[in-house]
This record gives sequence, structure tokens and C-alpha cells, in this order.
Amino acid sequence: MSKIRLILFSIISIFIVVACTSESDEDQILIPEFDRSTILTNYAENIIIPRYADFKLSLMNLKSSVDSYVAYPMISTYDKMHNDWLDAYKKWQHIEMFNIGKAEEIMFFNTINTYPVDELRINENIVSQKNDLSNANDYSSQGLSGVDYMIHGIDDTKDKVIQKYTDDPKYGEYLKNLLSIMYTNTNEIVQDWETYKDSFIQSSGNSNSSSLNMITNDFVYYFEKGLRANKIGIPAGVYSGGNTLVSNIEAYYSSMNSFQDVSKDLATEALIASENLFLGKSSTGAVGPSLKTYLDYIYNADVNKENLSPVILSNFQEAKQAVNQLDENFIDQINNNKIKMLNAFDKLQVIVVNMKTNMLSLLSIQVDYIDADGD
Amino acid sequence: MKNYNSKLKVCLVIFLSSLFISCDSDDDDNIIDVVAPATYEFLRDGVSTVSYSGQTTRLNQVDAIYNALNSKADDGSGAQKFYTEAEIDAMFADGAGFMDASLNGTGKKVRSKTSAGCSAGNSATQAQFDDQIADFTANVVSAWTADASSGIAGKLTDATRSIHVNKYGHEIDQTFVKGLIGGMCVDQIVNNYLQPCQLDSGTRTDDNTNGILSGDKNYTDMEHKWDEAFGYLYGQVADAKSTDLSTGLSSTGTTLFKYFTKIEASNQPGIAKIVFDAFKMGRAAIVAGNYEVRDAQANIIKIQLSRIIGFKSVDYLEGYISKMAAGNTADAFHALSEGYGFIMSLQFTNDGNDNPYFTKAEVDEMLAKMDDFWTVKDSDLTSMVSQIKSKMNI
Repeated sequence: MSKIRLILFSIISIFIVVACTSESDEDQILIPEFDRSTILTNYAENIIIPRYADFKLSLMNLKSSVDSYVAYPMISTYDKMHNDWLDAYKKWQHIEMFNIGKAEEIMFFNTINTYPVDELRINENIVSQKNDLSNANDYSSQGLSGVDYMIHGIDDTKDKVIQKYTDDPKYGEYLKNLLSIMYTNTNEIVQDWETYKDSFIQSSGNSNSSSLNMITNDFVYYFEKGLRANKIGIPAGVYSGGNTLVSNIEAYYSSMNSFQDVSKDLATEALIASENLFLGKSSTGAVGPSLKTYLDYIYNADVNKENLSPVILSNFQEAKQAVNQLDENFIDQINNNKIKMLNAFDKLQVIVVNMKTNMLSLLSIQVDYIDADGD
Repeated sequence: MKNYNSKLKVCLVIFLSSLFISCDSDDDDNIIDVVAPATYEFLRDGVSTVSYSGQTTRLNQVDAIYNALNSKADDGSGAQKFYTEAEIDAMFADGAGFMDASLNGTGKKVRSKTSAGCSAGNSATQAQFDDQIADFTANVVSAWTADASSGIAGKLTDATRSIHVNKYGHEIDQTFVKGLIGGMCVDQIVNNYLQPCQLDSGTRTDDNTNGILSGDKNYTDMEHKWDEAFGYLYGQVADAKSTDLSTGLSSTGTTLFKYFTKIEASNQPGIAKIVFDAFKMGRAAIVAGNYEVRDAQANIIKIQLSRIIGFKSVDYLEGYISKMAAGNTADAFHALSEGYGFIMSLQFTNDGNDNPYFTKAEVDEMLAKMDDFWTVKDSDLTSMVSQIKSKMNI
């Protein structure tokens, strides 16, 4: 019996080997040279630098409205501050993926948008008037997520929040300090890009430390972790055995205490930002060389390769539709019908697979990070 | 890619049909023919004889304790909640005080099933779990917002995560629950319910052979003992009885099954089918009264489930080293905490000859070497890794 099995197995193995070798020959055709620096130029000049400028401007507005609010805690100053916070948070969605250069060096992403925030630690920091938030343990005590807690979470209504600022100046001091840290860091990155831009564009090779490899890895990592997991998957319970974690949504306190349901807006903005980067589209709508261009180039040079960019673009459409179908209030969405949330997660996951596995392989870019385990 | 797939499929079809042809002549020599059903559903007079609700309860209790050991509400809501030692002890030892009322007062308790196999229980190991609860509530909770450093409990953050650790850098929800994966789940299966000291205890063999049922239940004692083993692995899987669990598993819970699905997806694809087939075949053998086949299946399960502990011990120790090298201390300590728990679990493995791959003494020696995460030597960890790899053949 085992002999028969062995013989059959050998024959089949030969079949498989024969069947496979005929195909892999086609892989031998060399990819024609593509000028990667065109992508880098477009990304730097038309997307990254202008988007950082937008964010910085928006942060300046928030900083000055925080100053007014702290000086005069009342509904009118509060409302302006809230609106400026939301505007900055939306602008942030367009730069969170650029964890490169100075931003990476100063852990910019961690200091702006770590959530859930550490309520206890913020409360202690407020009381002890702690200004130096450079310890990594304070990532979750600052940033735009920290401001969310400071203006929507220290109490459960607008009046009560304002009352706290009126009664105890320490709240205002802490809030102003958060803005000051964010603004300083942002400004530092903006200035750095003035000189970093050239070396970023010139590093157009294909090593793990060249710009396109790094920025593409950052983008895919961001999409997998910052967008798919943090905004949708974790709160929907994907990584906690189906137990939903509503307090892990982005901008939790604004929804939780009924100030404004913004989590969906932020997720939508992040998805558009990701699609724009893939397309090479700037905030003015102009389109330039991009990952899509590169994929198209490879397909045009060798039609036996997968024509991936239309697939990814239609993935984006489906993901946007799935996110669009969600309730404005993610807490309600998760509590009432988490299936829709999981559906959005699945649509985002399709993009992760197509970018991380198929796109990076077509572009011969190595993945430079380990999978986030989720536990 | 598509072409390749379809060619592969054709090959697979040919290959599979060859298996059918080659297997037919084979099974003749067993005295009592045992045929495993497609799923783990067994009926007597049209009514299911499979029951493992007690195991499901205990696995759910562990999930709740896991949250409590991270100062999260034990109902899994994610809300922050700080527990006292007495509160977590009650959950662990008495099956009481859970937010989910269905977990309270059921008579099902985790502690009494921890390091408590009928062949080799050990109360000293049980006490190690108590100590972890005490350490967490006394030292970690009180330092929740403090900064951790060598010799000082507190919070530890890097670019990837924040954890709360004891003075040696242990993240106790990890050490505790990963310890229980061996200490309860694997131990209860491989050193308890699949053992003659459970299956054949008292009159169970004769009762099973003669179809004498357990009290007013629809199952024999032996059938039920086997099902309880099944429950410690699959107890949180929805519709486990009516599902083909040999493939396409999706992770659930925080204990053995979660890591079983990880091993299936990475280290050893196909383990899910081997284990599921063995559980079905062994149960069918009990129904048929063929105890040789039953014990052969038990051995398969003992070895395969032990491999999960081996794989994860190795993965997390190696993970610690690479995460430290990447400068992510919190992520590295998180991994080493998981590794610490899986190393603890090694003493509950079973090599198929009813010996653990590593004895309690050997495990305690390893734990002593890695006890202080702030000073642990990579060379000690790599030597543990190679020991585990060679002894467990992974």
C-alpha cells in the first residue's frame, strides 16, 4: 500500500514540478528601469510638504483658540476651540503615515495620536503640573487624543468642562502645554523637510534604507496598523476574541459625551489620504507620479505581470463605501451592529493584502516590519 | 498566479483520489472497526452525547481574569477597573465575583484545575499562580502611573505599546494566562482527561463497554471524560460540534485555542486536522469500545498539543531578542512575559510516553535564569531555545 502511495506521490510531485517550472521562466524578464525619484519628488513637493504646512497652520489656529479659551473659558471660546481641534485632527490624517526623517526620530506619531489615552496619568500630570512629557509613558497623555480628553473627557458636559477650567487653572496650563509641544514638534519637522527634501528625493535606489522603500513601508504599515487596526479592528473586537472595545475608538470622548461624533469623519479622511497617496494626488487635486504609476509602468512593460492598480483602486472604492455605511457614532455602531464595522475591517484588509503582499512584491520592496501580533 | 493555482488544484485532485484508492485495502486488521464522523457530533438514540459546558465556563473565566490582571473590567468592555487581590483570588479559586453572572457559582473553578492532572498534579506550581496575583495587585496596580525601571514596578512604553510590569519587568496578565495554557488547558487534556486514571477509573471501562450511562445523563463516564478534554481546546468555538474543525479556524479566547490557530497559520500548518481527526477518532473508538485505537489517538493529541507550547516558547524568546535589538523595550518585555508563561507551561507537556518534555525542576531552573527581565542574558535565552528545539524536535 505505502509503495503505491509513494509512487503516486512521486508522479504527482513530478507533475507539480513540471507544471510550475514552465511558468516561472517568464519571471526572468527584467523590469525596465523606472525613475523612482519622480515619485519621491511628487510625494515630497506636492503631498508631504504641503500637507505638513496645512497641519501646522491648523495647529496654529488651535493653539490660538486654546489660548483664548483658557484666558476666557466660555461657550463661544470653547466652540471655536472644539472646531479647530476637529480641523487639526482631520489634517493630521493626511500626515500620520509619513513616519520618516525627523518625524520618526522624535516619535511624532506616538506623541500626537496615541489612543486610548491614559486618563489616570493625565489627571496626575495635571495635578503635579508636569510639563516635561518626553517620557515614552506620556505618549498616551498628550497630542490631539490628549486634547480630546482635556476638552471632552474631564467631565461629561460642555458646561461642566468649562467650569473645571474656570475653577482650576491647572487644566488650562496642561492644555496649553499640549499645544505648545505639538506645535514645537510640528515646526521642527516642517523646517527639517526644507533640507531633508533633497536627500529624500535623491535616495531613489532600492535598498531597505532608500526613500521609496521606507515611505512605502511606512504607508503600508500605517494602513495596516494606524488605520485598519486602530480605527476599526481593535474597537470592533477583532483582536480581543470578539469582545468589543468601544473606548478604543479614535476621539472617543467627543462621541462618548455627545460633543460631536467625529470618529467616522476621521476614518474617512484617513482613507481618502491613503488613496490620494497611492494615486499621487495633492490637496489641489493634481495627480503626479505615484505607487500607482509605478505599478502601471511595470504592467505595461510586461503584461504577464498582474495589473494591480485597478484592483487596488476598486478595493479603495469598496472600503470607502463600507466606512460610509457606518454610523457617525462609532460607539453606537459597535454596540448596535458590530458586523458593519467588521465588514469595513474586511474591506480594509483586502487592501492590506494587495498592497503588502502583491504591490511590494511587484515593486521588489522588502517588508521592513514585523506583523503587529495584536495581543 | 491563477494558472498556477488551477494546475495545483488538478494535481491535488489526482493526489487525493490516489489516497482513496490506496487506503481502501488498509483498515481490515482492527478488531473493532472505528469510523470517525465528519464532525465531533455523537448521538445516542438521536440525542447528542457530547457535553463540555464546564470547560467553556472555565475558559471564559480565564478570559475574564486576563482582563482583571490588566486592570480592565473583567466583562471585556475595555473600561479601566482596578481589582484587589481578594477579588481576583475569588475569581481564580472560587469561581465567584465575575461581572458576567453566568460565570459565578457554577461550581466550575480555574484554580482547582490548575496543575491538577490525575497523573501528576503539583500544588507548589498552583501557588506560583497565586503569587502572581498577589504581586500584581500589591505592586503593579499601586504603581499604575509610575515609570518602570530596573527593580521598580510601573508603566513601560515604547513606539509600539505600553505595558504595566512588576519590578522584574513581568507583564503579569501575560505570564499568568500563558502559564495557564499549559497549567490548565494542556495539563487537563494530556495529563488528566486523556489518561487511564480518568478514562478507566473505577468501573468506567466496563460501563462504557456495556453501555451503562452516567446517572441520568445520555453519555457514559468515559465518553464524557474524552469530551471534557475536547472542551479544553475547543470549548469557546461556536457550533464546535457541528463544524468541520480540521481547517479554516478563526481564533477565539485568550488560551490554548488562540495559539492553536496561530500554529496552524504559521509554524505547523495541518496541526488542526491532525488534532481534530484524533479527537474524533478517539471518541468514535470509545463508542466502539476499541481502547487501543482510543489510546493511540490520545498519544497523537498529547504530542501535538505539547508542540504548541514548544513553538510559542521558542517564538517569544526569539521575539524578545529581536524586539530588544529594534529598541522596543516594552514590546520585548511583553514578548518575554508571554515566553515566561509558555516556559512555565512546558512542565505540563506530554511526550506520548506520559513524561513532560521538561520537568518542573528544569522549568523552574529556566524561569530562575530569565526571572529579571532587566538583566536577563540573551545567551541564556538562546540556549533555552536550542534545548527546546532539540528536545521537542521543532
